[in-house]
Amino acid sequence: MDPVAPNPNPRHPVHGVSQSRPEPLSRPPEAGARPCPDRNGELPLAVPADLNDVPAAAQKFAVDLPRQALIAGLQARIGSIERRERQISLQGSKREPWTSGASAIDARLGGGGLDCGGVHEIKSGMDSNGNAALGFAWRLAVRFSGQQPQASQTPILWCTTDRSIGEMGRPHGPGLMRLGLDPQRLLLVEARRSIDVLWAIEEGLKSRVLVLAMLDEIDLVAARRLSLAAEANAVPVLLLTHPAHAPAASTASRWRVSSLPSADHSFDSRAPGAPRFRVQIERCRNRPLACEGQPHVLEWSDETRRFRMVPGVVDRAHAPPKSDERKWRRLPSGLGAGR
Amino acid sequence: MRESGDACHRALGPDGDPFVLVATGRHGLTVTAANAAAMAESVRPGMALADARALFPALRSGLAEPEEDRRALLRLARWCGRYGPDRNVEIAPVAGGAAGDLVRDHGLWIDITGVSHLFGGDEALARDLCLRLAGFDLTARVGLADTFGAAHALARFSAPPIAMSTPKPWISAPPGLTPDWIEALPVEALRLESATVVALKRLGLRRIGDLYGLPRAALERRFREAKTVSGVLARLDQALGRKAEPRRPLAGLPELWVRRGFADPLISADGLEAETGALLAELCALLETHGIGARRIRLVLYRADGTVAQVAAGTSAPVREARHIMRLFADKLGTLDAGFGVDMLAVEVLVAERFAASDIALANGVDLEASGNPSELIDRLSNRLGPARVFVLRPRQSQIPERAEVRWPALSGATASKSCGPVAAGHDRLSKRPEILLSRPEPITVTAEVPDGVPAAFTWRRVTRRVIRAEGPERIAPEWWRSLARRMPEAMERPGPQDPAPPLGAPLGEPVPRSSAPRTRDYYSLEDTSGAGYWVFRNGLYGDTAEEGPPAWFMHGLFP
Repeated sequence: MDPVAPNPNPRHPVHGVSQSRPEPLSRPPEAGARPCPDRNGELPLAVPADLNDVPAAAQKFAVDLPRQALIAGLQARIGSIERRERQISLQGSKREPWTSGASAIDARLGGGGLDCGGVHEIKSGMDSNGNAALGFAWRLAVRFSGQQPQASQTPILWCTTDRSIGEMGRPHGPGLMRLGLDPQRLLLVEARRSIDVLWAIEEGLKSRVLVLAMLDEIDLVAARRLSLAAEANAVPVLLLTHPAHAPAASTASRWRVSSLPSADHSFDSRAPGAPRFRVQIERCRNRPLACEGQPHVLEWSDETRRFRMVPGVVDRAHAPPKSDERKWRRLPSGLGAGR
Repeated sequence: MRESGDACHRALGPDGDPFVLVATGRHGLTVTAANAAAMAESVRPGMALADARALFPALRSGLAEPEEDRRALLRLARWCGRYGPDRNVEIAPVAGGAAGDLVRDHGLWIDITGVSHLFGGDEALARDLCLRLAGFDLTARVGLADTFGAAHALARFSAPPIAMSTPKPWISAPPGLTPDWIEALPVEALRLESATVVALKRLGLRRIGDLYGLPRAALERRFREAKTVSGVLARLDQALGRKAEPRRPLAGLPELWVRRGFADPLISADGLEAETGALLAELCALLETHGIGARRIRLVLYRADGTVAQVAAGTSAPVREARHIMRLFADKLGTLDAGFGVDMLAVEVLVAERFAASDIALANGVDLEASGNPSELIDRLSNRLGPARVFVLRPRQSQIPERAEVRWPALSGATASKSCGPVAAGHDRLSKRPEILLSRPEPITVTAEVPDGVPAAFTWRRVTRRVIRAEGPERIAPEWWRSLARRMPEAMERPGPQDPAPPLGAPLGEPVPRSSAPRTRDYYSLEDTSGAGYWVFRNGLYGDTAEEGPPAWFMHGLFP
């Protein structure tokens, strides 16, 4: 059997599992069996392409998982096979996983990292200045360009509307350069209406470039359409939406990011250090389990260009430096100098 | 070979009734144009309307609209692009017209050099033109000759007005025989001033042929005029092809031009799209033969009713791939109105460029998207959203943050990178810069120690934030040479390759609205209690002169 031959009917394995469910559950666990051997970036192509193999494969996974989890796991696995086969046929080569660098998060996401062919929605927490989500997205883009060999030279499409430019400003080349992103790769689209932004995102996906877009809101149909385009072309979209609006459906993942007090600066205790983010995964299509639990605290390093888990939220006492209060003077702009 | 068509006024009414157009002249209403029936009653342009009414009391009249006439003629000239790209309207006062300021002689010319074989020869082209003009109900006269001057003379003084019934309504001088064909025409046909015509006639020189034998020196001496262009000798030489006569075409001449006519007008969008695709394939083969690529392309639809619709598309790199060009046009084709049908399609390459070595992959249709060539994406985005909405960032030699980079229209991509000079130098890796720069620094209220303390709290967008950590100041002095340039604008700041003019929409010049001259800035990077980062600056120093005013604080960028 040629393992690369596509499965003529990918739905069959599911039926196979449901027919032979009682038997494998009663089997004793086999030594060395792992629930999902294909998650760590191995090609999952040795999986049953034939009906006859299915019971045996199902037996393997019937270790001690409850029935629901077993079915969910297999379904996710089939989904990833199908998606990956499409990616492979498009790319002609295997993709590296797109990881954040923080292993605890990457392991939760399944598939070794973020989905390279999906829409990832990132929302700011309500409390920050709104830039935490954007900063997080830029850093994910840096990770993406660093890890995908073919993405290191392609442009990055940045799409916004005029309105959000007035509110949030524009990308600044020197700042992006510090992150490790060549600003000359950036293609900026400033559209008048959000429908034009959606069109531009789709065009970008068709050209297989990573897209970062800022929108107030995205409706169900548009999100589904972008999701399909991302999947078909195997490139991701990082979608920044307004935190107050309803989340989009049919995204590969949804994150809520807010800023945290930064790490200590190496040389100056009073200066801001490496930025930290509180990251909550609110949705993950491949791994529903990833959304549970406490938010993670991630710290970005400009030197290694990766995120790092910060063990436990360090809640420093935020006190202004001890000083004579009389020295501080309120200076409304435009009023007398010094006096 | 030149061709000159002479289109008369529009809507002169049914042939049966005498009808004139009138305009307000020095002595009341004056006839500016008359139809054939009115001419038969001896009504002539230039007459007072009262005189014309005396000749024919039931004469109907309408008000002349010279501007509308001009526009109609321009539309017709645009439509004449189907016969050749080099064409324009010609508006000149009639020679010898009694009311020269009113009577205008409307004509248009088409240069059909190297084009007529596409129609099966000069005669076939002229027949096609006459038939179509007659179909539009236009009273026109058509002349064909080697030179523009001769064609002008033939069309106006020899050709009959075209009609469907006339078998050969145009006058065509065979190549090389121009002198013989115009010698019998009156001297007015040479486009001379009316005073000159009168003087010539007084001398007994009534026909163009009379001038042939005269000694040139004598002719020149007698008719020496300040405007040598319209001198007798100059006009004669132009008509006979001894002297070149430059003319301006209606639109820029395309580098390459492909067209396709249809026996039955196309109406359906599908048909239009299919034919455009076929035409583009033809064009791209042609581009390949010439070894060039198109940067700007125009698609022109010649509608059956004599109007023209056109769309243009630009590309950021030379292109000769029909699929790509078709995609650029595909969006716009839907918005075009085919009207009563399109009977000719033309694709014109307005700007063409030679391929650079790096563009070869593009030309040969290698898997571009995998190799990461962004130009197709840029083209699609720019053509749909407008070139002023798709940008790339180009670094620039400046320490002032908002001047450190230029937003450059992506469509002019390749030329921009050349003109920007030393590139990477603009982006300094060492200094801390935010990822987001506000499009305009926003004033904030700051609590800080005087004179150069770190802010302890600030109010931005009506929210007060307490500062926990801060770094700074980073002092950025104004660029003195720019304030010098402001004082002496003509001496400095010439638009050169070093300092390209910022594109539309780029933040220009001083971001700080109130102060006139740029001041020293102290930048601070702040972090508030929630951990959000800000980049603020104090514009000016304490201790500046009174006229500069007190320093003010601004929010300029955001850190995560």
